[in-house]
Amino acid sequence: MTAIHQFLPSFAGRDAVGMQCLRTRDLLRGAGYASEIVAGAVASEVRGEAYTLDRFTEEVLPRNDREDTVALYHFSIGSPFLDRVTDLGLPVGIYYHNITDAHHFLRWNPAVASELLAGRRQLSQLAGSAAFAIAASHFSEAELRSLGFAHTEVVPLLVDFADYAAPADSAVVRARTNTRHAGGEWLFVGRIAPNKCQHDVIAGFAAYRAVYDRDARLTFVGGRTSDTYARALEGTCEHLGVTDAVTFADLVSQSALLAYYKTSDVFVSASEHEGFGVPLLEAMHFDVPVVAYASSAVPETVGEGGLLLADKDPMTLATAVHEVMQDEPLRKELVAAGRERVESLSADRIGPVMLETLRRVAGPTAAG
Amino acid sequence: MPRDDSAPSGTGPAIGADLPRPDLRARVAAAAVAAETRPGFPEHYLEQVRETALTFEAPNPDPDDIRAAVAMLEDHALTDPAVPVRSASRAKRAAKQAVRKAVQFQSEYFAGHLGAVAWDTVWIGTAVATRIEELERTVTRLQERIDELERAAGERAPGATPGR
Repeated sequence: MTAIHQFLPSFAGRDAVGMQCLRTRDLLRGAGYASEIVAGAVASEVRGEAYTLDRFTEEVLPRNDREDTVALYHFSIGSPFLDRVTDLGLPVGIYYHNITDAHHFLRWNPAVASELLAGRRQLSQLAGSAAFAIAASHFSEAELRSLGFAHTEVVPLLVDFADYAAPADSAVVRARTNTRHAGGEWLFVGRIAPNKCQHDVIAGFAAYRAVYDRDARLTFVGGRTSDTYARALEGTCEHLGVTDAVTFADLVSQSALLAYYKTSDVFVSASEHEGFGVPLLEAMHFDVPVVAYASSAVPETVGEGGLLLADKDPMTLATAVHEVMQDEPLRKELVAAGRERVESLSADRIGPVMLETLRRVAGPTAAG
Repeated sequence: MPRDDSAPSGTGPAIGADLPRPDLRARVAAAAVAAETRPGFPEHYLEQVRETALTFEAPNPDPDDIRAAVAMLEDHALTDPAVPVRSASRAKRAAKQAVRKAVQFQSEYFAGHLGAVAWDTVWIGTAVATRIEELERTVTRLQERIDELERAAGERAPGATPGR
């Protein structure tokens, strides 16, 4: 094998899928493979990093021996782009990031639910013909198997924590510390989407304020997948009287994200569907203890590095956070366990596993 | 990585495996119960919090559940003409606000019509569901009657095989 090229419908650059492509490409090139990123749509800030399919077909593919070239398709949503990739006639393997269960979106965005269902159909159609399938978690692997993929592997996402060494946005740090009072700072990072269940975090937070800490505050960082759901969340904050204590910070820059992590006391997740859960690891990296509902791939991402809950009743969430906040030895233990977890999932550890897996499923380089 | 628990995978417990820290979870559960039984616990507020969280529960209807489909349609029938104007960028937010203001009369007009169509559809869906449920009840009654008659015919002619 001399070339493993990666394909994805939309290359935004700095999101989880985009970063996975960039890191995998660097790994492959470092190991002697030819490797390019090819996308249906490429964001302007990463235009130099990726090819459109037309350009790839004209400029790159003729230079490769087709017999020795594999397409690695990043599957996270259904797209007609996959048909164009299979039309190239190359063996196609997939890296499965996960497709959210459509039922979460039925009530808020039926159109999104329909896209998700279409994505799952497209994925199942690929089951018989895919050259290989790698999942980001055992949870996702189980989905692949249930759809008929026979030969599957699990390699977690490549998260390079060196990227988080950049300075945090001082303006955000200042704003949060200047107005900071005695109360605890809750944080959740992830898109505002019904499967992430921010409503349960708000419920837990409201209970926490009512029972344990009147001055606590909660910040959500992440863009909006569903405006209708986001509006319902705002209405809920108002209904429960916590509007002034809850901030929806929207999509923020990388440096601002670092600032939010650095100024938070606890990361709380009530999500019901995560294919992996990078923010859980980010929180651990920044020594923010994690309290999370143990759904989907969350337990295998958090491991021993946080407090996993079997239910998410508001009082369970509130009391779990209270225990973490007031029991200093427990807090220290969770932070230390989080650091170990991050270390075990670092790019230095997972990179070689990814490379070895790709060598095994796609074939070694021509040089061996 | 292969599905081998001994491999240096770095991944956590496989699906279905027991969660770590059972003692801590038990401690949390006990502390939550203790807090709820303490005098002055805001019982009514917590009830409100729990009820509010429940309203978000995701529907997961069977594909042939007409009532669930109508309920979802009803959820979307309240057409909101006020387009969200949130943005991290102040300039974008200002631009969105300006556009929203400029087309507000048009949005409200369309939202009104769309809402009316949606409510009419809910009405039709409810009527269809009611009729279908009535028909299903009738079919069930008729089937029960047929079974009764077959049993009776079988008893009148011992040895004969009841047919439909």
